[in-house]
Amino acid sequence: MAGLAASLGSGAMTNSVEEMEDAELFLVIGSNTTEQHPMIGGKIIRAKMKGASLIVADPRKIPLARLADMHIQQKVGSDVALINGMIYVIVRDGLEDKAFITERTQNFDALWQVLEKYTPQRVSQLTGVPSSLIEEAAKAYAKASKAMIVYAMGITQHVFGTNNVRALANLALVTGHLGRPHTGVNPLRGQNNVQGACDMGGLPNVFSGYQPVSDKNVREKFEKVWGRSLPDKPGLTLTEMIKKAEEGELKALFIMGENPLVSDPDSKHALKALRRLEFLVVQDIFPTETSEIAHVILPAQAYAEKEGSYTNTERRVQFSQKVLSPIPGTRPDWEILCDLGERLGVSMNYANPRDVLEEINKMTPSYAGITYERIKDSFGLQWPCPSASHPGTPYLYKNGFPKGKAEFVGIEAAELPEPPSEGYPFLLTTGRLYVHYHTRTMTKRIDLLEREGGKPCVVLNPKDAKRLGVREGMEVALESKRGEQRRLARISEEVPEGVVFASFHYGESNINQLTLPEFDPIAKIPELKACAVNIRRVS
Amino acid sequence: MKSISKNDLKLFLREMASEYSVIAPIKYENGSVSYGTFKDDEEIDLLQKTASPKFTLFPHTQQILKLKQNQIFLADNSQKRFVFGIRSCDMSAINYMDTFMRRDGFEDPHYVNRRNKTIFCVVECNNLLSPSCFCTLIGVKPYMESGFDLKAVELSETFVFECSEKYQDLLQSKFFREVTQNEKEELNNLRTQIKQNFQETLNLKELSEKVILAQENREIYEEMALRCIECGSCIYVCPSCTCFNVYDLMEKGEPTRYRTWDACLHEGFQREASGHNPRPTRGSRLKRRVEHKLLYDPKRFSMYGCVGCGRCQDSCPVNLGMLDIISHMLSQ
Repeated sequence: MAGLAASLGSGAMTNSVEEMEDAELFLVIGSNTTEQHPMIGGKIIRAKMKGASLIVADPRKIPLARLADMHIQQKVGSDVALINGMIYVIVRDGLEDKAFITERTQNFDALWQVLEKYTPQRVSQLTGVPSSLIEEAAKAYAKASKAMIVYAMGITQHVFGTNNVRALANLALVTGHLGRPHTGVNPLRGQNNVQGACDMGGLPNVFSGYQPVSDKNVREKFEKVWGRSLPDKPGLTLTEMIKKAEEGELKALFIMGENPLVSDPDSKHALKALRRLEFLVVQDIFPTETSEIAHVILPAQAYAEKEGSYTNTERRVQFSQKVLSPIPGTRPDWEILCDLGERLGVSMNYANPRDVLEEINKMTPSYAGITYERIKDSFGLQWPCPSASHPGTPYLYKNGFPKGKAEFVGIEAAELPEPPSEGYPFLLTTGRLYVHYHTRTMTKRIDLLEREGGKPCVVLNPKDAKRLGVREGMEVALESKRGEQRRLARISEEVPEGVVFASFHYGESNINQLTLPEFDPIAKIPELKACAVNIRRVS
Repeated sequence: MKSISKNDLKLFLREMASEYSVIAPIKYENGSVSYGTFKDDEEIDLLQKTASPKFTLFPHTQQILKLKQNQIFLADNSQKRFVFGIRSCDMSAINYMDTFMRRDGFEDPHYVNRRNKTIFCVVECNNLLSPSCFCTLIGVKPYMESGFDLKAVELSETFVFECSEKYQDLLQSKFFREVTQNEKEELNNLRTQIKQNFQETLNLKELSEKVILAQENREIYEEMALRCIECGSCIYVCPSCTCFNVYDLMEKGEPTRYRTWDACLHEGFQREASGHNPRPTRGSRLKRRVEHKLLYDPKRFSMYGCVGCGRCQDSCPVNLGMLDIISHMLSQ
């Protein structure tokens, strides 16, 4: 998000999901698309059937890799080196889009100063990928006229997540693969409204529509409408809050629809931190591990029990109607917040979500034209949509970048913060299963999904398993410097030697007790994709 | 054979609604069409392909029994229903389910209970309802000669109704009258025209041979299944798929058993308690599904488990609907 916004101007998918079917080439990197964004995965497969080329760059043999023309199995955390190597090949061979670079970007020379060291030979050493494959992928990407980059958490959930994203933006900018249909950089957002939550200022440094709190004019605009003075300094990110809570500086926390005791890294530590709070509120639709330690639990309503708008991964704002009568005693989130505001002395006079949307229209330039009347019976509108007559924006940057010229930044490849070492010889990478959603607070209640998910597993390469004397289904202990968890072994070539994969869904077998509490310096996203572990047989 | 004017159709349905819960494809304010309850004046749309009417007999989720003071009570929340506007393919699927759910001396009580209380009225397709329809290719006719409860054909001014012996009295309603000579002629012309429009058919003998041949060749399925993302949508939209999963919930202190749609393409569907899975790969599961519908069903019941409605064609995100599969098998 932060990386893409810094390079291009907006932290969102540049294209629409519908456009994917007609792309000519995909570079899917750090996204297990068919399992985590299956409808988008389906589009990629359909595009492939129509003749598109598919390059999958992922340390794991994800299902999409079996269909790929090229599967680049880079070492975990070596994405910057790989991307730099691709750009090197493109520029070396003169395949860059010179006109695009001159007219629409700046800082290319600075970029090249960093990149000229990334020869395919060196990159091959850094990534473990044959240099011929790097060359082939770079040329194919540069030569395709409609090329799409697709990425997700495999890129962002690293201490250098922002840099990974900026490197990808560099790649797209060098080749001019932006600002056209079926062509762009597409971060896939996994939740129905995670894009919306960011758009609405659910970040510590911005109001809605990414209007910075540090901007006096912006502040004044909101102060006038909300009738009170607003802080000019950014607040804390979730990961910073946990740290401040631990230090005793943060006294109270209000958590909505999040279960950090399972989803945050080093969760034993997170538990200690949250226990130090003087006051913890959890607002959710089901009890969670985190609500167990809350002082107050506020029961919210599920999507079908309330109305309101959501913004999905392709920046599309859709209105959802209430179809079920709510469970007695629950209330929609907006109503709880307004009531709380009133009691704290803030007047929040909204009669319904339509009123809220009306204020969003008024205060957020990119949402100005996304009115209730326009979206209530339609499939919604994609931002930016600055006026009531604007048709919405299927793909970004058609007429240039919001900040004038997009900016190259030379990014150096960095080491993982905790590479495998003596005593912890394996690299643990975490992720999700097809059938479960996040910390399973919802999906564990569905019998069929529980059956499909099976018991919590760890995936080992057959060679590693043999060395350890582990057979399929045996119990093994995974141990990092921060904790130990037991899981059943699943043996598969899906992971390379030296790497093990485990899903983080299970509170009762919490893999995040093992993960590393190190954060990206800008986005503050934790390093959930790599930490060193040991594995031993238990049974 | 009786006829009813287009205006009177709604009046007839309104009359039916006093005794039955009437379900029909209803057009909603936002333009979408789906089966819903017809009460009075809802707009009925017979030109859109809707979800299958399977849910009326075999709902997505259904309570099947309850334990009260150590006694088992079968759930019975069915009501008398009149389902209007299903298609010939849907009726064929219901005939299939009727056979499947009452086979080898076993009856599925929850299905049979609902079936006994439900009357279906087919409206024949005068044209292809959607480009994905392929009923005739698989030997199902868009018009029905037998095997229906009631059926209606839409003519220029009227609907002409026919019914099976059992439901003769329904056509005694005051809104029906005898068919005229003109209507008979129009009906004959229409039938001739439909027969011309729907001529194309597959070489089903060849298809069977190919499916039998592929019994020993898993590769063809593994190759197709490479793109399957195991979403199960082909199965959920299928009018004749009957797989279900059973689970128990404690409701107000009473153990309650539910069943819900399941999908044989899911990895855990055939997994055994030991962890062994006789169909461990997507290809092996796809093979089982295709053989079930195209090989074993014709052997057991003399009908395909597929009626060519094409809903899987519409819903599959990776072009792996039954017609895609059949075409691929035939091209081998």
